[in-house]
Amino acid sequence: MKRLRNIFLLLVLFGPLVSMGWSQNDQLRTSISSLKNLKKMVILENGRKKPLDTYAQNILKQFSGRSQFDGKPAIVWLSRVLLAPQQSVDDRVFLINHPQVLHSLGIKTGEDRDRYSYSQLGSYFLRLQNLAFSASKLGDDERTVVENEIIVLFNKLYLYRQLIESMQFSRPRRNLTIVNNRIKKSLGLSEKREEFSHLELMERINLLNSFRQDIMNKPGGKRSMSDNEILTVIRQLDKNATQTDPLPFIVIYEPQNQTENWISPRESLNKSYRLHNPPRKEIILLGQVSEAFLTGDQELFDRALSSFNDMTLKALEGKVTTGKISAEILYNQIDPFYRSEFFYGLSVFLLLLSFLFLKKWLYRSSFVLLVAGLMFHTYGMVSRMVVMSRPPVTNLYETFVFTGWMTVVLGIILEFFKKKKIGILTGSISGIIMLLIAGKYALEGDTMGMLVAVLDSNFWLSTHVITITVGFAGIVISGIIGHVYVFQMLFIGDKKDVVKNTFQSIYATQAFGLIFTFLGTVMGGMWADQSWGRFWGWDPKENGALVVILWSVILFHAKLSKWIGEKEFSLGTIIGVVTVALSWFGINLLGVGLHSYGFTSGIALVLMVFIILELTFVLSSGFFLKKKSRF
Amino acid sequence: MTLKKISPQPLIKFLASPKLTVICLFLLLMVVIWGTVYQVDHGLYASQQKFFYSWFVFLFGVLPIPGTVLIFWVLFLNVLSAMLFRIPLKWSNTGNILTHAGILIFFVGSFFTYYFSQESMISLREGEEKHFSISSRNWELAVWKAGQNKKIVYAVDADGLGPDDLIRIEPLDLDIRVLEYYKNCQAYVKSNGQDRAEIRNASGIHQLKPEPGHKEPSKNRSGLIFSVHSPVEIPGRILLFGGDRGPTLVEVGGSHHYFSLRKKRFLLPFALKLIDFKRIFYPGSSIIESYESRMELQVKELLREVIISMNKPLRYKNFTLYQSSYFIAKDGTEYSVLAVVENSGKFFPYIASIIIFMGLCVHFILMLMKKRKNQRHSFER
Repeated sequence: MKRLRNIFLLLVLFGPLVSMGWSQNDQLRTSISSLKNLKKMVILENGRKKPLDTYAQNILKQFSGRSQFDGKPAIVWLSRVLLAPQQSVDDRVFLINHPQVLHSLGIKTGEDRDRYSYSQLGSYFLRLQNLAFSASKLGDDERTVVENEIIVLFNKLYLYRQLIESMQFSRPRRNLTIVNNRIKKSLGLSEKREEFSHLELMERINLLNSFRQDIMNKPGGKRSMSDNEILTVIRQLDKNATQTDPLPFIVIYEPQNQTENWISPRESLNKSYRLHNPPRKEIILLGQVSEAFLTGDQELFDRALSSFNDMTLKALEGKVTTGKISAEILYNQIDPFYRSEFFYGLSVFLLLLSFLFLKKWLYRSSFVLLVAGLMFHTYGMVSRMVVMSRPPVTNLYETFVFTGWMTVVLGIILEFFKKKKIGILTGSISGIIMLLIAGKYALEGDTMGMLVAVLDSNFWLSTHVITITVGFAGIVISGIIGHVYVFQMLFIGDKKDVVKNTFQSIYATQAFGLIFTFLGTVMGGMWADQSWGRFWGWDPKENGALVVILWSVILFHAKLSKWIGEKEFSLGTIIGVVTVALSWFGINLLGVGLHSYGFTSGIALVLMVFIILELTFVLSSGFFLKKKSRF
Repeated sequence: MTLKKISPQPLIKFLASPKLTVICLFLLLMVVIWGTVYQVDHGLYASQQKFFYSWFVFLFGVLPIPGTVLIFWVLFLNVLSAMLFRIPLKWSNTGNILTHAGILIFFVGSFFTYYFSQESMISLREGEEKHFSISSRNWELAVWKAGQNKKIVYAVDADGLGPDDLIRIEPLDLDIRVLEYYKNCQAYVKSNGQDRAEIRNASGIHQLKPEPGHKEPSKNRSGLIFSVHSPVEIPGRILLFGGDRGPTLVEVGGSHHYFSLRKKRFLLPFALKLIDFKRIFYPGSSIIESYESRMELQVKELLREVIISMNKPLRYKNFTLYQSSYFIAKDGTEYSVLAVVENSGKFFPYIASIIIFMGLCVHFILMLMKKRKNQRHSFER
């Protein structure tokens, strides 16, 4: 009976969540109902080969700060942008945070923070371009948030315009018009239309070139109306071939001299034109994809994409495998860290409820939810490792994901041994916080970016970064339990056993954190010695880790010398969290040193607020604890 | 038994005290934070010199507070005294003792590095060979006789030179009196009311104006003005500038000498020749995946090929050469820049780290075991 009740509870809790994520249907405004094969298309972006599904998510996150549009996956929106741009111009995807950006464009109406469509902003493009150009000439310290956002918005609109251009070659164009039915017939074109696509004409390039030759060879330069029509079309093709600005839709793999080389479809077409060759098979397939999308022919759409993907993967000769592409798509679809956040949140909620009623049962449920969250968390990290074939922590985003995971593991271990609710509380809270911070970094673009040369060492990257992150997790969890200790002292100070128990957890996790932070820092020193010939150079990042270690060692020695007691030690561990935050973010804000690959910006204010809040908490609780101990 | 009982002196007690540890660590924490923030405006080198390689840091320019070197020495004595006189020699203290022994080794290693390590650079174009490295921030005055089959260069450290310093270069029988020396300066072709003929310089420079040191010391251009007094008094003054086009030729007592102010050079026990420099980008991006220098290492008769790439430096005895950077000249010639570090104490941190980590782990485990034991006792009671 009890088991049945538990199953029922889990179904009630998990059911809606599971269905929420997995029943999403890729519905389009065209009658294409499945984008399964489009998601699998391999695209090159910033040196990484990734499925178009990931690319779509990254672009949409950059544009709108969300990974879905209108409740549908990002690929649905991107498919419209690429294959039917007219259908995407009204999509409100361009996030503007500051109303002054709108005012500077001359748009008078606008909310404080809202999303706008291209049809709303497109007519201001030139103005925006001028503003962004002038803003980019200002120094970093001369620009305000508004100027920065103007530059960002311009980049978004520019990228959007490039994206809608990317498949333009496959759509009929007004400047490629043939009226004369005799010409159409001789070229094998449909007599029902007058406008043709770049691709259609390129498929007949040899015929067109022979026509041109004949016209040129005509005695006396006498040209008929149809001759002029052919020459106009050829001149337009000439003009198209001179368009050289690179497009972002880089999906054509074309190795050169044994080196990897990728180009956009337009570049491929231009190349064929210059060499008097017909278009490559892949371009023809993309043309079919485009046509099928517009006509709603699902069968042709799937068949063409499937052939295109097969050709690319075959040419890549194992550099990208179907398995990895599928793993990444599944990872995108499941969105494991979002689910982890949900479970951790629910775990805290049930734990708090357990203080009021159904104590045992809600406590157990919250533990189960924490473990469930950890499973998704683990799945997410493992997936990333598999996809990228590298250790779990290689960039700032992943440090938060990993530290969050570690704090949850530590929380579960603590709960397993102590069973005092502290493990669940601290584990789930720190898990959520870390994943939320990671989520903010995810908005900046691909979180699986390529590694800069200096980080290209799997051994040191996996040992040094993971170890120090484990250490930071220990210090953070110790500080979070420090908060719990303060509340316990203030509100249930009479229950000495409970408080003593909490302090033991603080002490143990702080020691654990110190050991691993020390080990991680030393390993960093070894890596520096291996790479740069010196163990320690007083670089800001090294100093940041040293500050964390020094503070922790000070706490232990001050306790040893009886300068501080349990209360002060616990308050000190909260400051330990501040040292970790400073080491993690603060150092990056300085913008100096050898570890420039980890730099970031825009978090100064958040960091400042966090530090002030924590220090205020420590000072005020120290004051109240002292006051309480007097009575 | 502990040695504490036979050494009750107050000084030893003070030195071995954990309170002294806390004070030192706290001071170190402050210095590290200050020194890190200082790097934003003044650069790493200035911060190292002011905070981390100094005995004292002067607050507001006058009030001395301990610098890292002093704190390290006090901490060294503190840990040593604690190990000898405070920490009881018991099995249950194994972790504690190991950790502190490791810290002592760490200190020894840092003193070794502080006093004996040397950092310099080699910049090579493809096909070029060098048997010396150059300092990125220190300068030297180099003098050699012109028209000799075998060029023998005599060099004197220029850093620290000041007005009226006398330099004697015995083998060339030269006496030089320093008139002006600037660590960083600007050079001017026109002089203010000075007799142009009075100043000799290969680049036509007639005046130097001191400038504050650059944040990045490698960008400093030093300048030196001196007179020659022996074997004969040379009329006028000789001006040398760090950015001179070439050495200045001066006739002294019938023989010609070249004078040059250049970055300090360090002779290496080997020669290096750059065969090929390669950069590999990730496809379709400007992110560098790797860069490497294929070189020839020559030690006397021995000639072998070596590859220096990111995270894979060349180690030769106490020397470590790593791929620091590269640049491409306007004519397209590729230059590979290698950093050269000579450190005879490089093994200390490795040994120390292993011992400290072992110590911390043992201490942590013993602490947990003790807690468990106590809990069991209280439960049984």
